[in-house]
Amino acid sequence: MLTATLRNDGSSRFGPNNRWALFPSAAIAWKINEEDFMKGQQVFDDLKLRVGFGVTGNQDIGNFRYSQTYNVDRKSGTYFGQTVYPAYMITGIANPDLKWEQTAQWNLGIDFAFLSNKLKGSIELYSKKTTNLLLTIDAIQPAVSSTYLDNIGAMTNKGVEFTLNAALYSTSNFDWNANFNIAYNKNKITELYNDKDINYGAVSGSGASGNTQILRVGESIGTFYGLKFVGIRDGQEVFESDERTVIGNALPDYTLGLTNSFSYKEWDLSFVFRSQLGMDIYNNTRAELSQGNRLPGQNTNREGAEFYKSGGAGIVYPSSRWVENGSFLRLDNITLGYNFKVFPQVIKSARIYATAQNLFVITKYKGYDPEVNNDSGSKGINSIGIDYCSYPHARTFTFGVNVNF
Amino acid sequence: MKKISIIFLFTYLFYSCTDLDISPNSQLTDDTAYKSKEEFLYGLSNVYATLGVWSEITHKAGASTDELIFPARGADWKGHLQPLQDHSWDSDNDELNSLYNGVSQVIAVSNSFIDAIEKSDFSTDKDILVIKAETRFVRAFAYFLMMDMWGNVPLVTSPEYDPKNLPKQKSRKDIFEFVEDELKEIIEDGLADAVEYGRVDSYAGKTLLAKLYLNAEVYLGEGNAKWNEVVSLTKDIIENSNYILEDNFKDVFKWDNFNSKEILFAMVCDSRGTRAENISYLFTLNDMSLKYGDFAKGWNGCSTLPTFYRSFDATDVRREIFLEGPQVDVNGDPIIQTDDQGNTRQLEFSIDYYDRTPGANSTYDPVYNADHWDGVRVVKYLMDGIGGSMEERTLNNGLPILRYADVLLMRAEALFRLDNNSTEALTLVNQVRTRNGYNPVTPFAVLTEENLLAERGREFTWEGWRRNDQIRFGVWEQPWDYKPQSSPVYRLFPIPQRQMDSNPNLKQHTGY
Repeated sequence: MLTATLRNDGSSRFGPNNRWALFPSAAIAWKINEEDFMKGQQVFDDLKLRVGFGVTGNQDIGNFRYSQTYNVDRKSGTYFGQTVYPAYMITGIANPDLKWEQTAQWNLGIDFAFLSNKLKGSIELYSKKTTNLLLTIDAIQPAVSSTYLDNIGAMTNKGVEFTLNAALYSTSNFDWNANFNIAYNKNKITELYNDKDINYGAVSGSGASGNTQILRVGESIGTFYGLKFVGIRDGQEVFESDERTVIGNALPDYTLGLTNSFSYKEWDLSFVFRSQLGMDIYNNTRAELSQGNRLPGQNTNREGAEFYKSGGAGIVYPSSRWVENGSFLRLDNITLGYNFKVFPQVIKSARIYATAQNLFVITKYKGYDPEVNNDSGSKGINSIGIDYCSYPHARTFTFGVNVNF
Repeated sequence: MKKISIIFLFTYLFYSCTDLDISPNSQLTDDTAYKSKEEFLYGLSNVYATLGVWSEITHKAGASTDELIFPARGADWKGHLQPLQDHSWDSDNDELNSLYNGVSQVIAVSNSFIDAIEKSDFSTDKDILVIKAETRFVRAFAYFLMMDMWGNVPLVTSPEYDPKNLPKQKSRKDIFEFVEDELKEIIEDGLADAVEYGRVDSYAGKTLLAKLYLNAEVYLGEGNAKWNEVVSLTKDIIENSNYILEDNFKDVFKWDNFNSKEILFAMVCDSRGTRAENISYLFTLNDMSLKYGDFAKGWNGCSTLPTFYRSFDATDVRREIFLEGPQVDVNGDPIIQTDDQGNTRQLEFSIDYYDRTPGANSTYDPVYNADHWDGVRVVKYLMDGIGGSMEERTLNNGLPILRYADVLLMRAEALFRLDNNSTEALTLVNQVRTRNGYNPVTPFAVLTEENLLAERGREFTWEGWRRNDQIRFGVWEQPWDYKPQSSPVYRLFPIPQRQMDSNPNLKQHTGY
């Protein structure tokens, strides 16, 4: 089977010369198990090979960034004599060359099924290249703003995804199904403006200064950058050298999920595990609390109290001392339900259930929750994996009744 | 053989929405703005509003002088402000980067407005030409600041932003000459002779030009002094303008100082709606709400230094800007707070910075780990609002940038440099010092470099000129209070590293 589409998309968000872009896509599928040479084989119930290619675009930048516009702001002007005059404020640096960010993706997939469709799954390899990345960078002064939006840079995402569905056991009373998936992704920045690093991800806290993340050609996004911490000596932090270096990465290598569902007569039970492996987290909360100069008078943690006792005061924020492995396994959801029949004339079906969400997390990370979602973005680039007073996911218990009439 | 069927599907819309030319309905563009004369006042307002950076300059650049310090009080304020005081900053200093960006924006906004004027239908209208001259003044002032603080910077007068054509630095001398030429041109033809508060007239232009010439040896090197130019410009302002010294020093800084006849150029702020903000009291006070009202819960940041504070005579009216020692509320009763040692007692601001719990393990440092009650505070801008008390967090008092007292003292300094025994110089200094007799301090019998610099310090406390004065008088490298001897490299702020990362054409000053 072959499908192919060609789109010509235009966006008024870009300048008159760059509004339109062509977005093709095509996919071929080959149902191998329907071929003549596969007749008679008993192994595969389904075997399909898919190859696809497509280009998508991103125009998520707000309007009129390509030209100069003014906002009339009553409270942003000044007085002449006794009269206030609102200002014609320039909204930003016009960039007439702004154009679509584009992602071109190849994928190759195999869908399969064995054992009378009891075992089904797919393996997919993909390779994506994003070009003309829309990024906000430091504006070159003098300029009417301190930031500038431009198409700069390119990056790739390559990976594998594997999914398996299994009907593990099935009798008249008891069913057990499971689903397992694992994905591996590797991101790499391949181009940046002038090959120049971009430092972002500002650290927070009292006395905090510096950025802890870096966009650099050859590295992944979400790379942490700082000094390599060796230890504490005489109340001083000791580092391997004065040079900052790559000290971690906030993107996970592997993302996994496991769902199991059971049903026995009227009972049903399901649970969902989710895991991410290989990502680092910058524990900004711990960094701030571990300073030696919080005492006396301010709350601190054990690390901070010990640092204070050894004569330490402030800390260097962008350092590997605060970068921790955030790999985790979380029981996202576990639900137990019971289907029952009552008043069959009125009620078609009824079920009571109990659900626990976020029942537990297994992780070595010292913070409250390895899934952090606060953004200390600076220069218009969202940071990834910086935990500053991040609110942990709540554990919730729910009891409920479903009734169908 | 299984037939392979291939189905091709073509869809093409012969007519669809392909017109993407839309203009913003809620915003103005270059095509729709400045179509009537009144709009140019909104554009000019935008230009003057960028001067809000002056408040940042007075405090942050001031933190490198002997009149103001932002110590780290425990963990509070710890960061890039402390290296400013002991002259140990580097090109990664975020505070200095912020000043660089702020002043650069003044330039860029001015460039853009001048361009809009020149492209408009009103480019030769006489009122619009005055507006254009005022914009050139603001731009010249910004380049003056860039040259004063960073030396050799790019000289950009076009509003185009072209990342493929990155600006290159000009020498400090080139920027000096640009500022000089701009000011001379607009003084000669452009600036009005009298304006309403918030705008600049030709006398403000002359005052800034005099300030430029006063510092000529600093900017152009030894042997390039221009004292005579200062003398003649100040004579013109003194004889021909209507500016005077206010009898009451406090009137220059009061709530409604827009009527002041002493202020030639100000950063205008008003709680009722300006972009520029005067929140100077928040930087220096701690919780003084019992004295000044609910809004006065300050951030307890900066304070003055002991030697500077002690340079004021006890009878000097100007010393009343300081809050020193035990503090009382609006009724005169002690303000009770908890100090760093855990005692609940009357709040007091100490003159000297000292370790209140000395011991073997003490980590006290007057700059890097000071006490929350260290240092005398400054309340220069009177906080009595229109109704008698502050009604808003932002003060209405504008920040004077250039005032008549400076005209007199610049003239005195120039005369003194030409002739150390000049009687006119001594008279002028005493005139400002005693404020035409309204300030009960003993006038000087003799003028020296030391007492001239000190008098400028007392007159312009925390008004943003101390660094400029200390460098010109050659005392910038000397130690004072909690600052050690420093290198002359620090007479210039470094080009911010972030700017050098974006623009490879920029070269750092030697020494950094």
